[in-house]
Amino acid sequence: MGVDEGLRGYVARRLGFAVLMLIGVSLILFTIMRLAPGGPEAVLIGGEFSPAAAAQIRARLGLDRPLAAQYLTWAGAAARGDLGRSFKTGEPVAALIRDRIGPTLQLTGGALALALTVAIPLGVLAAVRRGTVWDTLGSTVSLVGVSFPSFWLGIMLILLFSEVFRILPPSGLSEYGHEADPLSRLRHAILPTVTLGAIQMAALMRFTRSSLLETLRQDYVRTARAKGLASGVVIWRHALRNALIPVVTVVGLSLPTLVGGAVLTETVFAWPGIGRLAVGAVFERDYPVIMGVNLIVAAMVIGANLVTDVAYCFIDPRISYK
Amino acid sequence: MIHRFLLAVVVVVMALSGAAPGLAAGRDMVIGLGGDATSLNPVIATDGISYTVEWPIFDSLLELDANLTVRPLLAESWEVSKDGLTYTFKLKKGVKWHDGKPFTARDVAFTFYSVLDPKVTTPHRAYFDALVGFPELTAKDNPKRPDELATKPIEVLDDHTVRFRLRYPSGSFLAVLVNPRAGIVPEHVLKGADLNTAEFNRKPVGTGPFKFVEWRRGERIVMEANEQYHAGRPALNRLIFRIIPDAVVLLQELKAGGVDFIENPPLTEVARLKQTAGLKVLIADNTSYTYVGWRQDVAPFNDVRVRRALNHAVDVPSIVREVLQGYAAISTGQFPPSSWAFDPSVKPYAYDLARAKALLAEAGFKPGPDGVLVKDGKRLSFSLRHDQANQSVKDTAVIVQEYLKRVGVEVTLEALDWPTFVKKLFASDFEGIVVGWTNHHDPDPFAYTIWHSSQWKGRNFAHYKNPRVDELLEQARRTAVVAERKRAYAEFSRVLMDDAPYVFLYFQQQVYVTRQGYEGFAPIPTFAGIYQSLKAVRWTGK
Amino acid sequence: MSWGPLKRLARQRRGLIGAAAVLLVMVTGVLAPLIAPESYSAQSLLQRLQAPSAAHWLGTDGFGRDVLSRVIWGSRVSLQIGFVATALALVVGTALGSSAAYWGGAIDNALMRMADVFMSIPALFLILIVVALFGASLLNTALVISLVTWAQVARIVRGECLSLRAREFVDAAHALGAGHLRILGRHLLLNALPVIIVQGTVLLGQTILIESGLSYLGLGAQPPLPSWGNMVVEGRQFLASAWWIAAFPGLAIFLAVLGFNLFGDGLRDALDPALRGSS
Repeated sequence: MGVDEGLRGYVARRLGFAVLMLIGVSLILFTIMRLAPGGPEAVLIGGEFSPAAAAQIRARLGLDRPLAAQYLTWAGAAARGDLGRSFKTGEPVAALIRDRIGPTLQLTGGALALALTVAIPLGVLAAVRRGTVWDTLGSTVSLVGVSFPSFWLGIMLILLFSEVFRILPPSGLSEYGHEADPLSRLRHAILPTVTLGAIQMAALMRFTRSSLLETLRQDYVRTARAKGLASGVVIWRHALRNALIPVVTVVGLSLPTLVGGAVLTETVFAWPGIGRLAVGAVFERDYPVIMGVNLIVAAMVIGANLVTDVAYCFIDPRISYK
Repeated sequence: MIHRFLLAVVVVVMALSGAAPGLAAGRDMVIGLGGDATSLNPVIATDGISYTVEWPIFDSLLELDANLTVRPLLAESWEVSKDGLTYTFKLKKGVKWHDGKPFTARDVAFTFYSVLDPKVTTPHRAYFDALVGFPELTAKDNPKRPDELATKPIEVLDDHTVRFRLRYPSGSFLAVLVNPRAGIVPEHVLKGADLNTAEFNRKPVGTGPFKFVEWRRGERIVMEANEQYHAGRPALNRLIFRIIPDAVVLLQELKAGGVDFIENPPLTEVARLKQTAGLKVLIADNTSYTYVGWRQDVAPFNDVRVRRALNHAVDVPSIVREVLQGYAAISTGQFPPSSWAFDPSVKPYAYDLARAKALLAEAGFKPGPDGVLVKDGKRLSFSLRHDQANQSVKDTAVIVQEYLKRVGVEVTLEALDWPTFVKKLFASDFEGIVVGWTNHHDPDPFAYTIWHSSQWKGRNFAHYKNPRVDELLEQARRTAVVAERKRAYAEFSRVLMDDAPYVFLYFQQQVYVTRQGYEGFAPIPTFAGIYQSLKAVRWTGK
Repeated sequence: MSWGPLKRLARQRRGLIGAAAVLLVMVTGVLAPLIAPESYSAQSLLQRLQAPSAAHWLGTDGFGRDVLSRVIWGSRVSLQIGFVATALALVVGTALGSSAAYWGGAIDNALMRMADVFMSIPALFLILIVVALFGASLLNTALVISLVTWAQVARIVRGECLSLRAREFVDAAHALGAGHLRILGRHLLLNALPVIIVQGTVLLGQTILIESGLSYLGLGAQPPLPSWGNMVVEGRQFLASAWWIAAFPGLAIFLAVLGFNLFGDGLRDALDPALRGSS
């Protein structure tokens, strides 16, 4: 009775907020883009620019209408699922995103999986064996990991594995004609995934370690130990579960970072995902694509956070959804 | 346990590093591009990458040989009337579109009427200025439609004959009928469609040596050999254009075998690439040049002594040698050394700091307290605007700034993103600029639009004005006699150099690197000219 | 504020090393015009691509400019962007976060939702959009970095203040008639200060990394102004022939960010026990 209703109400409220937040995101972006000087007409006309042609393009793209009208048209269509058409090529934005989102999801998913599988065990190890060689090693590696620019890591990996030791391809999704070949896909995915995941892994490891350390210090853990419960049980059953709660939060929070980081990784490795689509769209002032991509990404992030928050309720019985 | 783990790692690594089978070795060619195309419709495409990619898909009436002289392609032969006002082309018979339909003169007429149509946003319209009815058809208010004209500029005489009528005997008419700016598009696909947004722009149908297969945006564009090509099936099976934005990674792909052909590698690498086994370097002159320009009608640049001084202050040969590794020709004006309009008697300003300082002193400038020259209380200081995305232009701007500093001129660099930069350019909202012109292999299209005083709202955004130059440009445009045009352009170049409106910097060469074993490339000295020869490229496997 | 935390900090090696690195970067940046042997833009085309030597300790780059001088000036550029961005993010984040914690309820909700909105746009997307569209000046870069980082500051400050607020002294202060601002400023913020400082050092390190990412996309500090990021990017094409052009600024980025992180870690550890017990 109580749990169900409370949960449903909570989710409904969060969904409502989510919609509001998406509107907020789109408004912020829309305002920024329209405040900026210049527009897509210069890009579309290229080197043979003329003011007459520029005016023609602005009219065709609807850029001479009042700003509020432009936003409302876009928002109304977006609510119906129509994200408009690219200024540059005229193709539907939704189709563009659909085509390009697969590689990005593969990349960020792989990077996250890599980060989690390595970071959590190592972070736990470092916390549990605090002060020993393992702790120092783990802490140092992860500290080094978060002090690196991500694109630099990518560039160095390509240099090492494609140029010096010629064992992995430098860029791309797969060889031409081998899109369905899993081995080809895997070979091409290794370097980008490691690049994107490495820094995430380092950050998560640091966080897991400190979170677990803090939990282990808390009173109830000491009480459990004093009561004679075996160390292992204390750690695994009590401390870890509680330490993982903030880790889950951090994972949720790190999604925007991952997608943002994907921009650089996708550029280095010529990976055809939405990160590069967004970068290209920004340079070309392709407003519908910029709005569309950001909307989808924000929706994904907000959705993921909602899921993790709801998951909390099941992990930690102490949390209520007030 | 460690042993087993390491063994597993080794096995995995070895499994993954096997050589990729992949493409039909050598019968296909992978071409690396630094960015994506915008549109594959030759009528509306405006950027270099789109030109490159659409070239193999579409034919034009004529094409160029190594001396940049026109020769037949879709047009088998042509007749020019005595007065130079009528061109009648006989088209090749038996040519088919990629969808099987026959190519006829109606397609030619449709293509060029589309270029003239004011509703179509195309950059090539001005090249057809010589056509009859041009002003009426392209008028801003109430443009006429072709069927409303008494004399039509383009007439279809029969399925394989088309006639063009000019309103003055233009010497450059044949030259503008070549790719990449004059590819012929099919009427039966595009009639009634809005060329600006048609699906065709993403799924083109042409008569060229290669048929469009797919365009995965941001990733690759694929085309395959046209079995029915009128000049014979090309030797290559497929062309795969791969888009790799990072120039260094692109080079690494070339070396790793993922790409077979790239253009414009970092110039510092070229010497090393020439010595790399398995690769070869092809070089071609170019029509494009980079320059430093100013508003001619604004102080202090309206004083010719100042302009000449600035020319003397920049050591162009040093830039060409040290920064461009010698892969450029010093520019002495609008025309590259490979152009027939080029006059070798026109010499650039020598690098002469003393002369530069003397000229500036003559113009009334004296050194101020901080070393920057001052005249009437105003410092000789200006902003130099340029495209923030173009690395070689950025490098050039930095160098020019330093050179000018040494004669007491203060330059502030302003790197702008392309859309903002272009807007300011054509609004004449700048003091100094560093930018380039892609140029055309025929002297007229760009010379007229850049230097004629009627073009202040167009390419002549620097507001240059010289009545003698106006005369010469008009003379050169309205005659088809090459000797006369040559004479006019020679004098034009001399007057221009005398006026020193720009610091004409350099014509940077086109540098291509390809895998040893691909033969048949013909790097002709015009922008992206090498792509014309893709139909002749074959793999010899050596 | 007690001296305890500082004493604890001094006892840790990590924190000390970090502090030393941070100090080095700051001193270099502030004194750059005085200690750099040459101007960062002085070119000599005839001395391009020279290896490290007595004349040029870190060699010369593609334009013949002294790499050492440019690395020194690069720290100044990093600091310029870093300080403005961090200061702004800290001020806005602290103000909004503490207000949210103090007043709670609808205000808390609204402010945190706004923070969520900013945290759900990938930082690099927003930064890219602003810098590409409005121009890649140091100020624009700093402003937009603060735009994407204020939210994480606000969240953390809010968390700190919430736990502080729950204590009796706030109610006691109220009972004694202290005004809102007084309580906010004197009690909450002063006690939250350590956390804010830690956040600041982390942000400074992050700014350097963000700027280098922007430089990779061509949107970092614009030439001839050197930033470590744009030096690395410019030097990439010469990696085979003149490795020093990219290696030294790359090393500088790594050591500086490492230093900031170490310092932040050390500070956090030193302040940690203090947070638990103080009033």
